[in-house]
Amino acid sequence: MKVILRFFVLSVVVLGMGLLWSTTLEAASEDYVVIGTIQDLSGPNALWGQSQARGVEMAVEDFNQRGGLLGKQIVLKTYDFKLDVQEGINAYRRLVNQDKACVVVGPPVSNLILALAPIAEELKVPIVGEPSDERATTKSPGEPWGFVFASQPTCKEYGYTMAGYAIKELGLKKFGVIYNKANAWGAMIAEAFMNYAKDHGAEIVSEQTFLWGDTDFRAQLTKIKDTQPDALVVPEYLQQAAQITKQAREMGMMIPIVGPNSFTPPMVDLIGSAANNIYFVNNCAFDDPNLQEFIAEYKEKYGVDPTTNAFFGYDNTLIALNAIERAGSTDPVAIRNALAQTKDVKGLIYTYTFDPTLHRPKQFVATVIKIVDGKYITVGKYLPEP
Amino acid sequence: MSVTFIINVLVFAAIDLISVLGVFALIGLTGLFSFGQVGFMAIGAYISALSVTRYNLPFFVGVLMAVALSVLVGLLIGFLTLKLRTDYFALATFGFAEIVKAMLNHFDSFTGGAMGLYGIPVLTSAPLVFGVAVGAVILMRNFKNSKFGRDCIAIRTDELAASVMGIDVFWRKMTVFLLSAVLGAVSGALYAFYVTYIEPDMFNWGRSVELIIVVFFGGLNSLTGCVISSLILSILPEVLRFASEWRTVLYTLIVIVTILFRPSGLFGSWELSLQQIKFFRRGENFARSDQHK
Amino acid sequence: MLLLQQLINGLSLGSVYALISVGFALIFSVLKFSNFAHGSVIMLSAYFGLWISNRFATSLWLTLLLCALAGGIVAVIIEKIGFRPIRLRGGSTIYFFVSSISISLFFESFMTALLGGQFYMYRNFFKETTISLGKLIIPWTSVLTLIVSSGALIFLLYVLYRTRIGIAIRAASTDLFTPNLMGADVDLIVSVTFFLSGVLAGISGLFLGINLTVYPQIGGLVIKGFVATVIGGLGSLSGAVFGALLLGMGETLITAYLGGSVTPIFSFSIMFIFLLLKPEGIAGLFGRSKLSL
Repeated sequence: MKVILRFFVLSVVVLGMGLLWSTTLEAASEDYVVIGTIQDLSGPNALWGQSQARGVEMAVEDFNQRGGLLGKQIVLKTYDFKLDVQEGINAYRRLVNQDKACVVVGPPVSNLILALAPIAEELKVPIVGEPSDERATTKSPGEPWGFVFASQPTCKEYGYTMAGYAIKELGLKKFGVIYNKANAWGAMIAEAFMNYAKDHGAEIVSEQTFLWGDTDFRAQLTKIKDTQPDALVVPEYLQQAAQITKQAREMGMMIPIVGPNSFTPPMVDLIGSAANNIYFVNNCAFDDPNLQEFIAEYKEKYGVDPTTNAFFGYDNTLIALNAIERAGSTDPVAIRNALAQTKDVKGLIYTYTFDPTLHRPKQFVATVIKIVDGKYITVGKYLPEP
Repeated sequence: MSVTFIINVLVFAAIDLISVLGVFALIGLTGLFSFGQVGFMAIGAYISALSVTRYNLPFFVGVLMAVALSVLVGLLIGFLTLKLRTDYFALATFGFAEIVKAMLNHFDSFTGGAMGLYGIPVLTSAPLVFGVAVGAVILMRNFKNSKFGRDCIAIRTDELAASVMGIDVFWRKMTVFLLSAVLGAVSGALYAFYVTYIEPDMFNWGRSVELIIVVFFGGLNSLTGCVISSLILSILPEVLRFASEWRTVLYTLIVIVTILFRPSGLFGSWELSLQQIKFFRRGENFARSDQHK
Repeated sequence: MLLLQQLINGLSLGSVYALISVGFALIFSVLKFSNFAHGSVIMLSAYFGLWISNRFATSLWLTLLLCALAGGIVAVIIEKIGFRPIRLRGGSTIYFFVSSISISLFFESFMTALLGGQFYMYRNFFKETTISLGKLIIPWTSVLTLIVSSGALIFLLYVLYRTRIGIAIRAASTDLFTPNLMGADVDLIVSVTFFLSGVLAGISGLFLGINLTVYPQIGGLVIKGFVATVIGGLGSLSGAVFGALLLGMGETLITAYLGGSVTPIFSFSIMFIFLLLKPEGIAGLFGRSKLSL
């Protein structure tokens, strides 16, 4: 009836206006360099997404304080994609078409970047992220995706480092592996670990899987325990890794636990007395003198400790801004070319040199950290033999 | 103002709309509360994507195969579940969607598992999607106004009475179920060839819930309401970007308020009809146009 | 020995499900809908207990009591705001269902936006977290959960069969409006029912929080409660408990012998079988239905 039609017309008008308004908000200006970042700010990985977003912010502020880039101030547009690929795609397109961002600092989430890789080729605005899935940067052997760059080790490297350390340095021979079959990250690290182990004289005595939403792992752990491994391998995200670790210890499995960089703080807080005899591979050591200034600044600004993701965010932005500087312009294609030639950019975690055919560094040297009685103790840098 | 960006948002909105129309037919018209729509979308996406990327079949053949498999699966699930009462049916369809997801994860040598299917060529274009969406809307409109559609509404209102009137309840339900499966599969296929990367987790329960919420928001009886609601709720996240963390909170709040205070949805039973548009243009009072309801 | 340990694992998992499913089954029996907001009450109680125990260093039992009370109160509030308006205007069960889903999504996204996805830990209530019987390991919290679930069940049955309000609730489960004619206050009955289910949710929330760390999605386990009540027979309380224990054991054994990624396929298939062949569930085997033992 009339009322409804009016309401309908009104809502369409309002919505249309809203969309128009939101799109014209802060239109790009010639006086700024606009960069964008897409992070998971309110989804399942919000903890790390927020941390990373802050790292990006700090990098932009640092540059702005030193006079900006190419004589202009940098404007950062941050979008939340809630770990949803569709939202991420919308965010990227918005950054490119609406906000006229010249480069996008991406989330540490491979599946979004996998979806964005072909779109980035179409829209020609480069993405600097940390997809640990090789396919995000490599289109086919020898040919990288034109507009995607990665600054984190691949899952394979994590897996190899974990395995190499466990076998060569800890002398462990038999491993029980448990991972989330629906999580590409965990599954790929697990696969890499198992392949390396088999190639280097070790044995995988038990391979167990679980799925998202599982909270009880006793069935799998009981099976693993029964095969009497030397160590338990848990290549999973923080929450699941914490629960698995706790349950394993409760079941009397006191063997060493080997993990990836998800075991960083707040892991120890979450597992309480189970925080012992754990070895994990991280990108850096917390007591690395290179990081202390950043950590202090971050803590002062945001009131909490930064996670490794904050370092990633900072470094990615650094790489991106460095490329803009070297390109000498805000033309995204020029920036992309500069990114491919990234050499010796000194970041918080590493010094980055991209291999132009891989669009990521050829090799990362990771750091092994152990957890003893609730304390993180840096063991040192480790590069596994091939 | 960026047209390409808006078109992108509208393409996603149209893809969602196709699937929502299927849900509308199920829940709105026939009273079959199904959580399984994402299951059919997943089948549609994966079968069409695999056909094209792995077996090098042409796009339309891929989509056809996806539709065919959805129909087969729909038949199977339909036989198993359509005789159940409402909430059991809801639970069963939920189970179906979860099983599809678990199977996609498990048979990873075939589907790629958690690694997803990657590098799907972009074969979905905006005109194609808009064309299919418009076609689906027209299809739905004819369906609703046909005897078949009225039979379904009768089933929703009172199943027993409907069967006494000689309506073959089971086969009507099955046809609607298959129709929604086909729409879901088409939606999924278009999606796959637009985002170029699919993984099992994209087809989760949350998506099914979103689709159901759209239908409720727009009105169980109103096709127009459904279409508008779908458009609004697809575009809303972009408009609400400034409140990014609180977006979902606002979203659910809007839905709760709608259900509590206007449970027949935004549009209740009202439909936009050609007559009304004519009257509107002439500026006359068109309030009498929904007499036939 | 291995099998025995796995059975214990299964029972321990099942006891967690049992606590959730009893509260869920209670609402289903009386109001005939699946209350997904039950998950929200669980989650909110978990956070509440966390705050109380960390802030005021309360003992386990005191925290338990407070969580139970908090859960009950929150449930009653949710009913008043989210369900009563629908009931008063005679809306069909679908609206309750959708309202409950929206409410659960609302709370989940609200807490996520508020607390930024942090995980929180309860402090240690137990010195020794497990009991060892020879080579068998039994987690303390599981024993406690099992005891509390049974205790809750017995308490509920006492209320339902020995108190006046209990009789009123059972009457209402047969027909929600007739008790009105008998002079019973249906609004009060419904509130009490929600309070009782909320108490159970509060206790579940505390135990889940202790076992799993506290996060906004913790309420998602309510789906297991749903499946358990189907297996046990929707409407039967002890059926819900048995269904939950069976579900826990089934999941554990399947994970142990076929692998964790296959489990949902089997759980839901079994649920399907129950829905098709024996919708009255296990309780039906004993010839009972409605809200009963």
